[in-house]
Amino acid sequence: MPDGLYVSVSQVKTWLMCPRKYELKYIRGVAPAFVPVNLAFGSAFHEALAGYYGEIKVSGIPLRRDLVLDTFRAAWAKAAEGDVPLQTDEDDADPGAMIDKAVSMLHTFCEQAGTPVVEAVEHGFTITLHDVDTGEPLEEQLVGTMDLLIREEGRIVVVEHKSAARKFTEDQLRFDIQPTAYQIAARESGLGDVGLRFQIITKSKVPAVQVVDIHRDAQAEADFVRTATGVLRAIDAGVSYPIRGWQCRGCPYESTCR
Amino acid sequence: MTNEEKRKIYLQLAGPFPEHCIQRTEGRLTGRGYDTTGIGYQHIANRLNEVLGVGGWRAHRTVTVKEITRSNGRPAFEAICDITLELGEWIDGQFIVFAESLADGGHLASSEADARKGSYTNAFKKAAAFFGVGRQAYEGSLDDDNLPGDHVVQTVQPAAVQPVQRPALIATPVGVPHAPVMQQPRAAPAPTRNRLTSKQLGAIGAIARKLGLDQPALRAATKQRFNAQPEFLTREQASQMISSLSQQAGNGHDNADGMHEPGMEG
Repeated sequence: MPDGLYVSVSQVKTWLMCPRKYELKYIRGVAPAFVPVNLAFGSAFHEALAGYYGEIKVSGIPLRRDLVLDTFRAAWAKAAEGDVPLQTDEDDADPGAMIDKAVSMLHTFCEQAGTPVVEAVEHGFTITLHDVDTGEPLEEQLVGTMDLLIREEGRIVVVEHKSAARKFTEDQLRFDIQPTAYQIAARESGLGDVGLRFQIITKSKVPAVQVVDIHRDAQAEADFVRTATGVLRAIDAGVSYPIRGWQCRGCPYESTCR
Repeated sequence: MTNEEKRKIYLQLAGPFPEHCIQRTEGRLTGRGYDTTGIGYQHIANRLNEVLGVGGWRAHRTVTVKEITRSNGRPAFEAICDITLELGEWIDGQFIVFAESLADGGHLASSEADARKGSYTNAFKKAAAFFGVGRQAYEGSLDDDNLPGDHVVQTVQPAAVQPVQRPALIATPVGVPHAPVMQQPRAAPAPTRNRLTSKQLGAIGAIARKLGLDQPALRAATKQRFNAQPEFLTREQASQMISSLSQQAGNGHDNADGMHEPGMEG
């Protein structure tokens, strides 16, 4: 993380989903009552995929499938044994069943992932954003980590991994701000004009790998910067209010919020 | 033409437009940073034709275009149009002018064609407003309850509509060589920032390290005192924190090691 102030896509998304959650988590520093099982699952799954691609970068061949599974199990065990307990919401399976699901998903992934030319795994960035209207640099820098950079046909493609209940919808693919931020970050950090790709592994009974190349234009970039700027201004102004809804289920700050 | 005839023409030109002629934009949707209300360009032209007849007016224009680089590094075109709008009639192949107005308009766009087009329509509408056509847009009387603040963000007006902003001057008598120019909207200042700066945060971290406070201890301290993490202190709170930490470090307010609170440099 940079020494100064920063903002991440995750922070922006958190504020947009529920400003009160943002306040409790980031501003007040309230300790979460539990770790949502889906969050722990996603982190462990990312770790397994990072192991797969990291081995390609080092040796040119993917990590063996059994080791990919071991990577997940180790990360999952670490999360389960952490100070903060895991907790499912009512729609989730129990933590034990999650391991079986992950194994099934990782088999599907390994069968379809192939051996791309890996440039970087877990590629961190810190860039300066500029106000779209005034050109002034924002005080907060944008930070983040790109899951995977691969080279295809002479250019870099930023790949974002997701483990999700179902395939992404058109709207999710079209409007998710994360790849937009990555496109800006890639250019600002010298990677040039990059391709953007979602690689989504579904948690469905028969897991599927959805690979979608997406496009973000100048308008989308400006929208993202305006969104980030607006959120930062709202935070600065002390705007905070709860949004009650589906997001309250499985929110680790709910007990503090009410 | 008598003054009475001119007065009647003016009243016809300056009459209000029906609702469907009014265009409104929201800054949050256009990205311009301000809401606008104005009369559509074609409705202005229609009014001139209806009152003066086809051929009863004409416009001369000069458009200058400059290629610029936006703050995000992308190229754009900034066009400025100087226009002379003449009212009159054709007699024996000669256009005999009885009134004219001079105006300018600007527009910023990603393509040169759009920039030229936008600057022209902006200039045209402003010149027509000098004769009263669509003057309500400049008077701010279209939507009295929808006036923006003192400043609007963009320095160049949008293509289709004019900002609801009262022009500094509106009248342009015939024969005056240069029409008064409406003030260009100026960039709005960012809202006053309350949150601490990166420099303040860095100063807090540096003094804390000097005191042997690790990150969790520092976070606990700011939470206990201000109910906030260090990154979310206000400037004032950060200033207080720097002062108290400095005192603990034995520096008092002299800021040893050349460390000055941001904003206090020099």
